[in-house]
Amino acid sequence: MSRSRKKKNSVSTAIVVISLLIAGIIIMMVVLSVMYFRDAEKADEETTPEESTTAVQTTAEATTTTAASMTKVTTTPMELEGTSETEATTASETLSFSREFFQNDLFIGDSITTGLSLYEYMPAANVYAKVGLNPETAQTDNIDGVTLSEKVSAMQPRNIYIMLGTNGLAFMGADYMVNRYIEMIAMIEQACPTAKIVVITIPPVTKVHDAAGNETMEKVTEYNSRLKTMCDNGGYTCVDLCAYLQDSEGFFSDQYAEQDGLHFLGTAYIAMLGYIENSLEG
Amino acid sequence: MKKFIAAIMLIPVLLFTACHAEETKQVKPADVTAAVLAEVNIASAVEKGKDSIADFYGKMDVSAVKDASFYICGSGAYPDEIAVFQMNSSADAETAKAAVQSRLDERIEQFKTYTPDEMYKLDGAFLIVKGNYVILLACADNDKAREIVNGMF
Repeated sequence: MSRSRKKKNSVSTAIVVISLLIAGIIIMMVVLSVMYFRDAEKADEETTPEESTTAVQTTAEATTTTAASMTKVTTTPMELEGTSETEATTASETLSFSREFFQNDLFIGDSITTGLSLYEYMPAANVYAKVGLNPETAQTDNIDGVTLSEKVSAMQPRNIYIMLGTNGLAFMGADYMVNRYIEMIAMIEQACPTAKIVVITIPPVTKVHDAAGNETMEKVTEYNSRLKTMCDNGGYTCVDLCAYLQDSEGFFSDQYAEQDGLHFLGTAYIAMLGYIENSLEG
Repeated sequence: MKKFIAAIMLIPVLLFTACHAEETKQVKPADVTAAVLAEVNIASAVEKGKDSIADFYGKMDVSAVKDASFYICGSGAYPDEIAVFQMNSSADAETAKAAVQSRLDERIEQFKTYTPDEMYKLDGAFLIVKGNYVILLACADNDKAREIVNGMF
């Protein structure tokens, strides 16, 4: 082999060795940096405090219910631990309710009732509610594939609180709705003959909402009057929540009303639950 | 020889690229939702976390979720929803996207006859996948919300 050729071979070998060395260094750097960042992320996770659910009120007059004053609830009624009280201070009085009192009960309703579980005042398992539900659709509709009859049959609640009718006010007559209500109760009683049926009058609306003409206090009052008659005839317990949530002018009190004048602020649910409990215990 | 050297030099380049292929800036979901809520209002906003996923996103595999934060309207009056799911991997994020889409479809169905005036929030909603994150933005200003989210990743 000639001298120049030998030299060429040596240079080539050197280049290969150096290339391998550089490649090895880069690979090591990449692996080390990946390991470093993974460890840093792990350290972040370990020091991250647990988040809690906080309700944020956007209406200036409303009382803010903070996570510190609420006991976290689980999703099945039997897992509630003892008696715990949730309190909120309103402008005029302190209201409270016992979660234990309601632990074997079922709330049936529309979008307003969904707030009971959305705000976690009641476990989701104790609430059968859906946007737009009315006494007619409640008989055939389903929530996540479960009909009302199936829910009641499976749960066998102690008390069943029904607050339905707001969604039918604009387009159904009061008598038509009450007749559907009676059918619905019959269906519920068949699914759970031992349950106590408690009819909750539908809530009021604010003055502004009333003026829009769809759900008016005149319609609310007429329908609730029919409900009370239905309860008298059928022997059902009636809790007049509407009267409890009204202001001095007979409209939905601003301290309880959502911006749309129809739905509830968090304070309204606390008032509602306390009022129902007191009504049944009294 | 030159080809051999070129091939050797290519190895670390390929390795470097592979390690960074799935890299998305990791941000706490609660920080993202808080940032959006700071500028886009949701009436009676209630925050939910990973433990509430099954109640709202029934088709999502919770075991694939690393962390989550979502806000809904607690009164049930409005269809607003801001949700951020940090999944274990980008593959999980693609799977979770379908579950979030299902939730959005359900909300559209519920609210289209209930409060037609509010439908613009759902019709203009964004469903975003960023690496291992799935993000749903359905609120009064979806464009603003998306701008905020993009700025955090």
